[in-house]
Amino acid sequence: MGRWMALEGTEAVAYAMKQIAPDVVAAYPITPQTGIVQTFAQFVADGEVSTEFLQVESEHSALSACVGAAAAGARAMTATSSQGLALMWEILYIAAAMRLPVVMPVVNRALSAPINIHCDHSDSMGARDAGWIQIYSENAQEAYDNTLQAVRIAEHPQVRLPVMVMMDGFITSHAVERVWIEEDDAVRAFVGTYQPACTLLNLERPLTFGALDFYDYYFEHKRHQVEAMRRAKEAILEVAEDFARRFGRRYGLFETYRLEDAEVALVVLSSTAGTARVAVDNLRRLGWRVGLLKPRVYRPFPDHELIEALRHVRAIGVMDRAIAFGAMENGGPLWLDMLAAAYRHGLHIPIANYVFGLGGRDITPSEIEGIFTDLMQIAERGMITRPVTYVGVRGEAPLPTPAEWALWLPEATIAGD
Amino acid sequence: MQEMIEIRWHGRGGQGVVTAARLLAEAAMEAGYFIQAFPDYGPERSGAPIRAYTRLSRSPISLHSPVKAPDLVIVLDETLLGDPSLLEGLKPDGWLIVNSALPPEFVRRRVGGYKGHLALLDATRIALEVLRRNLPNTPLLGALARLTGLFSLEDLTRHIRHHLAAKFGEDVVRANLEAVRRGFEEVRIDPGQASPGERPIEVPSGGMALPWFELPRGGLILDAGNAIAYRTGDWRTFRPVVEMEKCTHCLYCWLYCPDDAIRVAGGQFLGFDEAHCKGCGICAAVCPPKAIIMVEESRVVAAV
Ligand code: SF4
Ligand code: SF4
Repeated sequence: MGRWMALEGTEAVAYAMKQIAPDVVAAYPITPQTGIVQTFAQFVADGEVSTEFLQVESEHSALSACVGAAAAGARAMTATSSQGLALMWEILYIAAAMRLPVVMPVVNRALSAPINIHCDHSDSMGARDAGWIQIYSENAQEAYDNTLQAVRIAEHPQVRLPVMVMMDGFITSHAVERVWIEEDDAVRAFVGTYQPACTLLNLERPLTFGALDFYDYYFEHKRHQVEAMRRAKEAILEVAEDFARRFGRRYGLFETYRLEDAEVALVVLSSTAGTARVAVDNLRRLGWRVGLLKPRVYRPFPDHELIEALRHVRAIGVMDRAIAFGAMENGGPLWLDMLAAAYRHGLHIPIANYVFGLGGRDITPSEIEGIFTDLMQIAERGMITRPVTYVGVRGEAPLPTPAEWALWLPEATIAGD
Repeated sequence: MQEMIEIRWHGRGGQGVVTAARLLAEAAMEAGYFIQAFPDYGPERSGAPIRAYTRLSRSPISLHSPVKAPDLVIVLDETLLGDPSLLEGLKPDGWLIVNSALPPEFVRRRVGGYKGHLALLDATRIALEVLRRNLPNTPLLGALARLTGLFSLEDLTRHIRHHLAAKFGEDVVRANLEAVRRGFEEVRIDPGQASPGERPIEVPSGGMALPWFELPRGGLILDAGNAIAYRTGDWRTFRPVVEMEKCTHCLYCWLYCPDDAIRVAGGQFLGFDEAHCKGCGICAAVCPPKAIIMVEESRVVAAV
């Protein structure tokens, strides 16, 4: 039998890592991921897990070490946040393209500048097209469950791709919650022993890894990555099915809440989905038909499944905790994907974007109720006047004139000099 | 009880505020509650005011936004009583709970004439007497059991046994149980008047006012050197006190002080800049003739 424990999100993930007992963990601590590395290092120091734990000098080295270890046939993990993920950039693509099933919990944090340690999704969203599978978690329990499943997904013979498992910085990483921790043996049986497809250390079968590859082969190898990503969706569901059979908690590509008869729907990732559920309940009590959809798997993007789940609503709001600067309307990445999916699958209803919570700005149920109010009006009118709203940013209207905007140091702030 | 209870903790960095929020959550979890405990992270420096939160509910908690209207505000450090944000959002029938030996009228005065429910416990003294360490959290748990009825003394006893027995000896377990029991018994309740119907106490949130287009681009700070405006002296839990006879005016303290809080003129040590000295104790540690000692701030404040 498992047991209830009061754990921070990072501790829950460190527990998952202890139970997975990877051959190699190479990591560098960074706020707010620190709790993962710290707790796991403690497990190693106390002899509770026999993992080879490498304390490296940077995140670039952390992921490089994982790539080397994974190529050698080891089950390898790391974890990071924000600037750490940014520093891993070139190795992200290498891990994916070499088809190495590295698993990496990412504790979402804003990117500098200005310096900020709090939650938004700019870090992992920036890495959305790097070839990694991306799974987002609402709370500590999901972070634990998703980390366990990530190992199976990454190593699935149809997939063999690295996986990031996200949780919200501070909001989830540093909050103590009730988490059901499964029995060690049960977890071990679920994740199984790693069967590498081929290894650098197999002397019977010497292989070259990471070779040069020009216009004659490079493209075909990219096509491999496409195929692995395409097949990942089914593998993710298969692993979730086995997880549910063993542990009773059911996961899909996304989760819905009171969506069946909803007139308008909100789409939002991670911990904010929990807060949005409270807003949905509040408005339902007033008779509003509002519902929620929380994507769990963002890469591969379950475009068809998402649109089918939303086909009956009259308007959709997509909440993004990141901005795709310079993209259409300077909206968020999730919104852009949703628009594309709706067009592709013939859903022609208003889809508005609400960018929120950058740098850890609070988002409350009442603000989300405000978003639903906006969506109800959009559904009523059948059209959108403002495609992207930056929720809670001070001074949204009226916009500054070009002359005002050209002032690098606006008058108001230097009046005191 | 109502569906969910929300608690805000106030203390200073290094006093175990975050641990307190967590301990309560753990105790409540064992009594069958769904829980959440989380800190408000800013620059975490020893002595800086810190807040943490606990949520307890009979049903799963999906809310992940900050606590805005707490049912309980718990203050671990008396020196925070003058902080105007202490009562922010406190529900009209909520409780203010302070770790203090001061009389209730005195506390009420220090908290801007607060009239609502008040509970006081000299948790620091109990902890020092029973646990021989400054761990006010444990006796406070006993006081909370009494005040809120969220869990019983028996629940707490079970929880403490469960958590401590494995790691520590029976002596430690018994001392902790004693601390909890004394907290339960010694909490001083001063009901005051709840003001039903009144809106939660609001505090003007200064600062965040400028619209985005009026902020300097690129995150520039225009009044460089504005650290002088931050009264880091308010963070102090210990303060340096000098014995002038011993001072050789070597100015090691001036060289090492991270906050430039050593007052010097004409090459002579003059004293401390109280508005900015945050009580880190580095000056005392480096002073060659040991002319500086660190004294607990609350004792200085109480003496005033
Ligand atoms: S305790 Fe001493 S070193 Fe520390 S801030 Fe105060 S004066 Fe400076
Ligand atoms: S370090 Fe000690 S002796 Fe030297 S100036 Fe400071 S107080 Fe005086």
